Amino acid sequence: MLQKSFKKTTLALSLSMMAFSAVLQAADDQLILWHSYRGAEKSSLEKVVQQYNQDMAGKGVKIKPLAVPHDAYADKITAAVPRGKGPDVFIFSQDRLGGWIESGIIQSIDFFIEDETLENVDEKLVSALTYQDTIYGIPLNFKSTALIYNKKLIKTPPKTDKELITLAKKHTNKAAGQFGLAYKYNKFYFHVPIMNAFGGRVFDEKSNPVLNSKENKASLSYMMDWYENGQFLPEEPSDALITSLFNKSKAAMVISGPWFLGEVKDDIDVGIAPLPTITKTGKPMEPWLSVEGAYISTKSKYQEKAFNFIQYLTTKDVGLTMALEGGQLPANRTVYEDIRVLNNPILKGFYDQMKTATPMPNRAEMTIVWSHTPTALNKIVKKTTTIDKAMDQAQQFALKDIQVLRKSQ
Amino acid sequence: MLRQPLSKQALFGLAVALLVSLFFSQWIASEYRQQQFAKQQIQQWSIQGQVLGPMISQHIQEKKNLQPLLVKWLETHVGIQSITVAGIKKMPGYRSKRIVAHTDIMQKSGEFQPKRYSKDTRYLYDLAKSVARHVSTNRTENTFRKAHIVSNWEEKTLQLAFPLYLKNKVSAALVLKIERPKPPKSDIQFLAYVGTGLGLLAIALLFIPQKRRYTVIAASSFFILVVGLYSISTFHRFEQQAIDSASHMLSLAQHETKDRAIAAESLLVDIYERPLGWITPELTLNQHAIQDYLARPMTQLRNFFVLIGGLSLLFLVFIASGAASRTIATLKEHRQAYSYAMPAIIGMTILVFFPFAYGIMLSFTDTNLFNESLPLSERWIGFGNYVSILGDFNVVAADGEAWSVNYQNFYWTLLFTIFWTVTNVFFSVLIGLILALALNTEGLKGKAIYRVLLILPWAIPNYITALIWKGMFHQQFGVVNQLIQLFGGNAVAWFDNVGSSFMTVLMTNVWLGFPFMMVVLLGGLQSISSDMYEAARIDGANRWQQFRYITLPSLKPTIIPAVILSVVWTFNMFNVIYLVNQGEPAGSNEILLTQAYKIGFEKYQYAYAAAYSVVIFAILFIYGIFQNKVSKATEANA
Repeated sequence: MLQKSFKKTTLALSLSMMAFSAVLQAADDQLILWHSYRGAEKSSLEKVVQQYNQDMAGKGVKIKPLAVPHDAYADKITAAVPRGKGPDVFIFSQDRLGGWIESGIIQSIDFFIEDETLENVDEKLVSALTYQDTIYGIPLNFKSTALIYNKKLIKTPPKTDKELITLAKKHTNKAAGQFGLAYKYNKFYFHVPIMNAFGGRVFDEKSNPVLNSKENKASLSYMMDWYENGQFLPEEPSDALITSLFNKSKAAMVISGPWFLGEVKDDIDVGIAPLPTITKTGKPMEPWLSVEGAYISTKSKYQEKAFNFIQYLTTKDVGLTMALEGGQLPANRTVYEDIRVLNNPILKGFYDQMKTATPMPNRAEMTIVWSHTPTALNKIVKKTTTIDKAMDQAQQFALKDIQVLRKSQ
Repeated sequence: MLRQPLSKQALFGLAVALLVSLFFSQWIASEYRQQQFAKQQIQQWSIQGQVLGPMISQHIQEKKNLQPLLVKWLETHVGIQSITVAGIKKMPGYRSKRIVAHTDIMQKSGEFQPKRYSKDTRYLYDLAKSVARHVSTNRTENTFRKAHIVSNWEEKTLQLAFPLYLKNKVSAALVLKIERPKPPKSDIQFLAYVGTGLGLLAIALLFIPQKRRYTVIAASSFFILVVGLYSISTFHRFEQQAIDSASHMLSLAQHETKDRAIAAESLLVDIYERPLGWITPELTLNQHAIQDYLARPMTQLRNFFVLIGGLSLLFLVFIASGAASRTIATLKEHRQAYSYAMPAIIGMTILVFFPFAYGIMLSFTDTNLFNESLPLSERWIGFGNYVSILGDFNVVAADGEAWSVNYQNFYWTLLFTIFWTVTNVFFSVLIGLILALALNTEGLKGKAIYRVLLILPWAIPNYITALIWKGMFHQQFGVVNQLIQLFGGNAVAWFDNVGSSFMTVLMTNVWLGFPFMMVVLLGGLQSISSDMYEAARIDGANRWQQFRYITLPSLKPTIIPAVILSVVWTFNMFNVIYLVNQGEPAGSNEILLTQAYKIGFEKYQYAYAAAYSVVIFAILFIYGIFQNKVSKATEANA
């Protein structure tokens, strides 16, 4: 009798326990993660998230990834987050960071970060996600331009600009539409490596624009020397043109980023090397580094859990999955100790380039720079005005626009 | 019998107008008073921050114990619940984010050993961090756009964070937790004004001839009188509140400086830690400085009152003159029709009129990315944007001998847009007409195939067409230049000068535009009766005469609506400009819409872009009125 009732009680107890744990299960905090990856990048991220959800099963956290088309991504974040409709965590490169911070979209994660959190991440990558001395995101991946060359045409990639010019001239035959080097020298982003090699920059320490600094001007006249005297660059370079030249083996070398490789035909043997050193200044060409970070929304109700998740994204295992399956360049440096990564010439090539690259400024005012430099560069390349005049004017316009933004109250 | 409804309507109109205008005025005035009150609270407590802050900094520098200082401060100052010295540490070395000292009124002791933050004290770290960030931002940019004194209004408390300067750098913040001050009661004086107004009018109506005109005038003048009195008394109390608060602050400051060598006038600061200048060195109130400080909110308040009063007055006249009752009668009579239209009306209101009204409101501010979060009243600048758009006539800039056009100027862009629209529409109509005439030829074989082929440019999404054309104008590899070279010409750098760059967008857009014209005109041509041509031939008219006197006049009712539509489309044809030549060179080929886009989304000057859009709207609105007249004229002709 007693035993029976004991059994009953245990049954009832265990049943109610189960019911209770079922309730607990149902009460998982669901964190929404937005990203704009596609293809292999998307599936590798989803795999990593699934792994996390498995590891955290029963701990009250579930991550739900959502792919948002890249074109609409920034606008969606800008519109949805302030109204509390956005994600808890989102992944994007640092170029929109400043604007989003100024409009109160991204939560600073300084509070959560400990010394060891980012010990495996290059300081440079962290600084890309740092705004006004405060860290706003955890670096996941990075991208930069590098020297991409056709291994059939170029046996050893150039180490210095002199070697580059010699090689480029050797492979140029304008009559046959062949060029030694193809890159968008008339676009500011692609001119930046030379600018940095000359010690030029866009903003000074006071974050005022310095587009017309003498270093910037010197770098432009160096570029014009390639264009005018070198005669190894195609006219009016565009993405479509460069891709088609490279695919027809009519461009031996190209300066572009990982995104370019998706366009390259399979029968071309691609090599990647860091950009060469400019002999005149003794400094390497330093491309701008875009860092994809994971950010926490200021409106998220689960900021601590969100932080634990993005911290997980920087672990070595995650990095390996993203590198080997997604073809991305993880920020965690221990990933590059793995033999599978080291044997991948593409990952290795871009990782080597990262060591000399500089983070692209994340200030909101960058769009103003982007809006005034095309005119200046076009004028310079078309020689409708002097480098001095073009850059002075760009500087004057940019300064005016920035001052309008930053007026005192 | 006639007297009754007249005075009733006037009284009712007055009551509604008074209630509406006084309610909204009262509401806005109390919003302003709350805002001022919040500011004054922060200013009052800042006095303590200005005294205590430097003392703490000195203690820390001299490595003295903070305990006696903080405990004594708590004992001598009523209303403070706790004082915290919240530390932050700069990068690199993210560890050791610690609270330096913390005291609580309940214990009068507190903790004076640095300790780590916990989940519950994270807000202290966030406050301290934002103070440090704001100070450093202002210093680097050499501006005052971020508050040095950060306030956080909680349900029961107000937290104020002040920067603590150590060797001129902010490495910690002083956080005062204060019992949340009670906001001033908003009095319901407006009811008194409503009552007075109505009473006065009721008496007056007895003596006024009961003609509608006179009752409306009487009601309006009473309305103006009552609202005017209300406004004056509100302004007076507004000012009084500021002066009271300032003299309170003066006594607070005097109290704090009693035994210390600090100047009282330096203690009254705004949230950027700039002296307010309300206290003279002789320790009296500087009335001028206070009035200057109040000038901005007062002017805004006055403008609001005028606006609300004006609208209410219209309302009054609307009711008192009997127009309101007629409108209601119409609504009742056609209620079925209105209920059918309701979903559309609601949809339009939400999707069109709200954003539109918001855009117009935005255009009167100086909103940009950096000051979006400020209250509207601090961003309000009135017609400033319009003045700088329309008042800037520097289209041509002279640089010594050389003349150059300032392509960023509104008038250049406007002229360009008009030129762009006119040429585009002209060529689209011309080509469309020629092709329509050709397709209209009787007995033409394969007509259906031609028609489909000619409609294709219209059927393909226009951004795809635009990008294809952009590629065709490439200097080295574009098909256009290769054709030119085939015939022995030199390659043209299409996007390099104003004219050739314009040619590229013109060709693209005409390519996109002619199929529409062709289709419309073909329809028009087919509806012309062949009898007319037959009669003309019998009369001996040649082909040209037939075209000139039969075809063209008969096509007029078809052409004009098509042209009107096409003008609006072309005027705002964003895709072609944005994708083909990007307004190059130097922004000379920018149309108004792409320019507004650039201002808004590249330069982040949201308000300026909004004003630009309103100007575009005004232009199209005027054009709309004009075209309405023209189409009426064609209807009459047809």
